[in-house]
Amino acid sequence: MTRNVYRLILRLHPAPFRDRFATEMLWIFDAERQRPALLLDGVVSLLRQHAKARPAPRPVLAGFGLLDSGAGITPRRLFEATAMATLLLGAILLLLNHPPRFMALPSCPPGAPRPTTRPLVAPTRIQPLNGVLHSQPKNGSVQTGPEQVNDGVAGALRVLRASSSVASTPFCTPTQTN
Amino acid sequence: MKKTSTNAPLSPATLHILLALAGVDLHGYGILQEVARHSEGHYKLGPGTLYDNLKKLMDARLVADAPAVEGDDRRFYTLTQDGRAALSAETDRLQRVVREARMRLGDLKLPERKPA
Repeated sequence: MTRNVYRLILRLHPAPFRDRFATEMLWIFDAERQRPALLLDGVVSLLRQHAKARPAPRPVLAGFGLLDSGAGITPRRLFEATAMATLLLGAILLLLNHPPRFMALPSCPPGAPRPTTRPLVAPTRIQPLNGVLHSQPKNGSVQTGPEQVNDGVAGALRVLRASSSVASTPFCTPTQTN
Repeated sequence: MKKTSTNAPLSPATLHILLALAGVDLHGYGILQEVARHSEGHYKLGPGTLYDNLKKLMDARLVADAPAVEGDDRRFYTLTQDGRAALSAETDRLQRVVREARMRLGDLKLPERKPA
């Protein structure tokens, strides 16, 4: 699977570079036991070689610079661009799911609060604050009396407390407990 | 063909590749292994970086294809005379940098200044 992806990356290189070096690069990929990290190296190489091979853009489309007037969009170029974007996205997702050691979060110490996925500010907690700004009684006149202000201040304090408690949650990976 | 000045500082990858080829002709994977060996594992090249730099070096005629080795399909690379000169110039430059750094850090004695 990884070998096929690497071969695809090599196939997408500009022809002069590919014809000259692709076989050797694939040989090294096999010799290095098809390390996934080499996929990223291949993607970087792909982008670099295309950046070098690309002529200076001659913009059309009323000067928006979206297309090169020289080559135009051919099905092959469209396919290459799509494949490159997909590969780049795949590499990013791979990094996010399997981050290198230097990017991984440390394990939480025992007894530390578990990181939460709840939103920073729950919508219900904003209600009192909104009550001050937008409370509209039935008679149609806007009231901002002392009670509403007190409610609003208390609500704002609750919001601040909630967000600060979330912000103080340590950035760590919860340890597995059986 | 691009002309590379022998006085311009070389990039780390270029320097390591030239250094790897200074002693013996090598194929791509041999260069990677030699770079890892002489840098004691601190500097590792990927194939993409290696061949990008090899292409540049070959365009600048600092590296060339070596004669094929019998029984080995892989391509071998060799250092040209210009490549050797570039490596030598870079070594001299680095030597001056190291000497200056050592003087400033106190490892070597600074030249004494005459009182005014």
